[in-house]
Amino acid sequence: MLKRLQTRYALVLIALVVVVVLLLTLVHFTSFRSSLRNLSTAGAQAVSAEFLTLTRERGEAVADFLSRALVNPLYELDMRAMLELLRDIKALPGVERVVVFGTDGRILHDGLEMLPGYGEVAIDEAQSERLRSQQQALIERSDGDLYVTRAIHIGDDYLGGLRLQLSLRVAEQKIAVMEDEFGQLAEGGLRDTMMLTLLLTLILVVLVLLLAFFIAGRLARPLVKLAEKATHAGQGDYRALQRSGREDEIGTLEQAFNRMLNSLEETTVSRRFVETVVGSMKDGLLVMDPGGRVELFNRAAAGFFKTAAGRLHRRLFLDLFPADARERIAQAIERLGSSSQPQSLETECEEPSGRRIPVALSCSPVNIEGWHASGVVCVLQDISERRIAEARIRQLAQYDPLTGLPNRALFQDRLQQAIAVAERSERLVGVMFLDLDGFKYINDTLGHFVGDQLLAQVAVRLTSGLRKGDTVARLGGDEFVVIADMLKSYEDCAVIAAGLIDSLKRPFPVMERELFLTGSVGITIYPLAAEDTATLLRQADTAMYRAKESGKNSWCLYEKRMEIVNVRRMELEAALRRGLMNDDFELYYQPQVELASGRVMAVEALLRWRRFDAKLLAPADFLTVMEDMGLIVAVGDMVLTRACRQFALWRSRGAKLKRVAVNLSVRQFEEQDLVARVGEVLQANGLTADVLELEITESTLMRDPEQVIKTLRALKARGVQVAIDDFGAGFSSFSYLQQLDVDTLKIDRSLIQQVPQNADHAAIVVALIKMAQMLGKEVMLEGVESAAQLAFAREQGVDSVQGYRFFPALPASEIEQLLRQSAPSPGTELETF
Amino acid sequence: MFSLALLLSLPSLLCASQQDPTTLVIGKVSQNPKKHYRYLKPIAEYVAERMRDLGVRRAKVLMAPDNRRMIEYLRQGRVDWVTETVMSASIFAEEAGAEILLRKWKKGVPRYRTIFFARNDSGIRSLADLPGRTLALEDDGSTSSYYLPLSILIGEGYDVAPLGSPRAQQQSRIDYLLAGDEINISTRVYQGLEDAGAFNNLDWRKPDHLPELFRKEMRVIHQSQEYPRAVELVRGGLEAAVRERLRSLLLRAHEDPDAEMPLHSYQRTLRFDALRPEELESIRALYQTVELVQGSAR
Repeated sequence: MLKRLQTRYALVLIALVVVVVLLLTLVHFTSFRSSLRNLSTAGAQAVSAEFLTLTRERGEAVADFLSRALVNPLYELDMRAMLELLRDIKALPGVERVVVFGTDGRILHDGLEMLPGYGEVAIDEAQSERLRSQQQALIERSDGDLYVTRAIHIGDDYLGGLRLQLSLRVAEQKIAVMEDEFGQLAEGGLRDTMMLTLLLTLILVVLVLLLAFFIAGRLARPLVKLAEKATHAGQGDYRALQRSGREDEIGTLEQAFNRMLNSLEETTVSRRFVETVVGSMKDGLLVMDPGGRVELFNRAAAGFFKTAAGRLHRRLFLDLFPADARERIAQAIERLGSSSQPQSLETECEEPSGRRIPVALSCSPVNIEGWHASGVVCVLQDISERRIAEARIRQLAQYDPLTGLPNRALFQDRLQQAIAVAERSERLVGVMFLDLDGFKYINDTLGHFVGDQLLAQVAVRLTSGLRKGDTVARLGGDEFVVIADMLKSYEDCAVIAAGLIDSLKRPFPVMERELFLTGSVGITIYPLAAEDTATLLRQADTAMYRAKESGKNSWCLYEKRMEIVNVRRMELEAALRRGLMNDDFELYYQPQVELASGRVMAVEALLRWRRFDAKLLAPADFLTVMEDMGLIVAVGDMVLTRACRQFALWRSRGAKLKRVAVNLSVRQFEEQDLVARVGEVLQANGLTADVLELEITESTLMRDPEQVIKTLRALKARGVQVAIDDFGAGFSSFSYLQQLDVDTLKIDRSLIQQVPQNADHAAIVVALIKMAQMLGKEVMLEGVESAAQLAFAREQGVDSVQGYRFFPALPASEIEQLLRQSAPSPGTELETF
Repeated sequence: MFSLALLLSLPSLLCASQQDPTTLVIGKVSQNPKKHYRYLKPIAEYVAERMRDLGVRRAKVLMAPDNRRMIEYLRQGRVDWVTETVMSASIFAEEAGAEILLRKWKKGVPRYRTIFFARNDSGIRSLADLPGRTLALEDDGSTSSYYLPLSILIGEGYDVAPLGSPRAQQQSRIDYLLAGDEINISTRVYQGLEDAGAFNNLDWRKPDHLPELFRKEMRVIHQSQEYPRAVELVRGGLEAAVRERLRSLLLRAHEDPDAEMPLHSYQRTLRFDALRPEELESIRALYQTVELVQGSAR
């Protein structure tokens, strides 16, 4: 504290002021005290002189009075009278004694009743002689008393005298008291002055203190800031000092200091900075001295070994690692000596608990001043997460995320490994391609979520049914491949395939449903059929198709001839492409007859492919392939456009058709711009929306009910008619049906075929009709081919029918002709055709 | 008529004083009325307050400069109650018809006597040595230092005369000088201005009357018989009820705390008591010498 500049300045200033004030005060006091004392003494002397004069005068007056009053008593020796007189005089203040003496100078009466002084010598003879001849009183002063002696005469006779002793002591005491009082007053004055001086000194000191601190502060504060800033700079804080704005030497010093800071900031990295950086590193940093002992380390390094920082220092670096890792690390460090290049390796750290952490260890030589040889700086990086990520990547690269089964890549790897093993062991490897029967339908009708759930369960079933070492992989969709190695014969593989098929027999519980599935398995055997993996997979695929063709839910061993079937499919696809390019597709129209009027009120547009060999193919022959080829949306749009164009043409020619029906595929219905596209087509052909009836299947409805309802509402809002095709053949949800804004239900042909002879079917159809009627929907029967079926339709109050009983699907030209024929007489009985 | 006569006679019957029947007047012969007034007033008020049932409403002090005047007052009924020494009492009794009521223990003393004294070196041993010598007495009002010494000397057959008397100087005559005060007596005797002195035995022991210095040089040459120190008298015509009430009040006064201060003021009286008959007789006998004493002064 005392070494602080501000304090020192303040103390010096205060000391200076105090000394000055004390000196002034001392001089003032000395002078003042001397004056007071002189005044006091002079005053006392003056008073004393005055008092003496007064006492003398008073004594003379009293003596004069007594000298006359005592004449008779003395003459008559009247002691009583003398006593009373003397007693009265003696009672006066200041009178010490009064006596009456005779002519011999001896006391006759001393003023006391007992006369103790009687006979004493009051005055000597000389005094007596003087007194006799003197009218005035004799005045003496002795021992603080004033003696007044006066003669008493009667006439000229001298009777004696009186002697009055007046005490000056009282006066002297009073004077002394007065002097004391003067002195006390002086002392009091001095004290008051001293107190005032002290108070003023104190105030002055406080003011000077404040002033001193202010001045010293003005001087020292910038220096203190500079000192603090220098301390911070020493700790690595090179931010510029906030200047005080002074223009004096301190301002210059601040400028110079800031320039120094700038230079330091540009050129210096502080130890704290380095420590902060090193301490902030997530990676562990250790520096080994030439003896291999840890000399420096950061917090992260201690964390790797889960040890206290104190225990790490000076430990042998290699001892920090598990015993089985030390050799490799030692070799890496040793290599530093020869190559001087950083050495990296992946190893493990071991915590005291035994848990091991995978780390990347990077070592570099470092030359430290004072060390006789190079040290080593090592960086430890925790690669646990990297390892996990790598594993995850491997998992994603090699496994199917939905089922957890190996994917195609791993399958091929495993297959190669199995082939390699088989070659060495001269055993067979069976490759089984399994495709689920009907999965696509489930996926389309119940949605992908259900489909995915089902696939996951299928994967579990397949895996559980295999031997240990066998591999099940998912190639995509509902395609699975099984590798069964170490087989002795293909029969072993057949047994496994049968087991796979068998494992699927039990129902799959998905979303509170029980779903049933079968699988078709194609088998090929290495090395009997082929020796490369691609060929083996293709062969198994081909065999699987054969199994499907042969009725599904079965397995089929690959044979060479199966290749031919595959070739046919490829040819079909090529033909379809050519057909589209050549516009070999036509639209046929099957009339729909209104039972109440017996007239053709509408037609359904149906696609036909006139193949290069002039054979006319129905959609059932090519639609699946076309869908696999991804052509279905384009073809569907073509059908819509042509049908509307044709209908508009018919209309323009006077045909009385109420509407034209067009089938929409699932893919078409999922197109976002379906409604807009329909509007465009209608507008392009000048048609109102109510002339178009779009037919969708139940599977389309069930695929995504919410979206379907939305799309249907949009279509209905435009006025387009909607019919459900093939109603009753699928998984219709009646609750949805109630919500769906459809106009017509077309009951599926498969149900009609055995009506009315099959009572069960008839009952179902009747129920469907009743239900539709109750919901206010129009009902149309498809596939009406017989009179009985027609009668049934009429009997059930069906609105319209469609089928060979009346008209097959006809080219547009024939339809036009048909319409023209029937145009003059609408309502002609159907039987007339 | 009888009632009216009774009413008219009541004041004379009930009044304590002729001047003012409701006022009890105490009197004393004094050359210093100022001093003695303070002595007398408290005791007079004490008594008067206790005579309200007798019609007394207030007390009054009346002092006479000499016996003659007091005798007049007593005769005139202006004074009801007088305190005096025995000589004056005998005079008032005889000449004014006053009644000596009680003995007063003046200054705490019930009785005293007169003593004659002279310097040791005077050669005077008894009264018989006095003729041809001078005798210092106080004043002609003093009992113990005038009447009694002179009556004793006269009774013993000595010729006494005031100093400087025109009568022819005789060797057998004893000249007396009235010194005016006891201390003057003692001083004059001590200084040899007079040969002997006389005052009461109480003065002999008082250093202010006889300083030790003097007494050492003195001897008593004669002592008289004892007399009451002082007495209380009432005028002859004082109503009996008043007189008796006064007697009874004074006799019990020393027992009454309320009387303490008045008694002290009343010449430091300790108490009052009744006089024995022989004391009364001795007082009355004194009157026989009065004429002789007064005659000696002429």
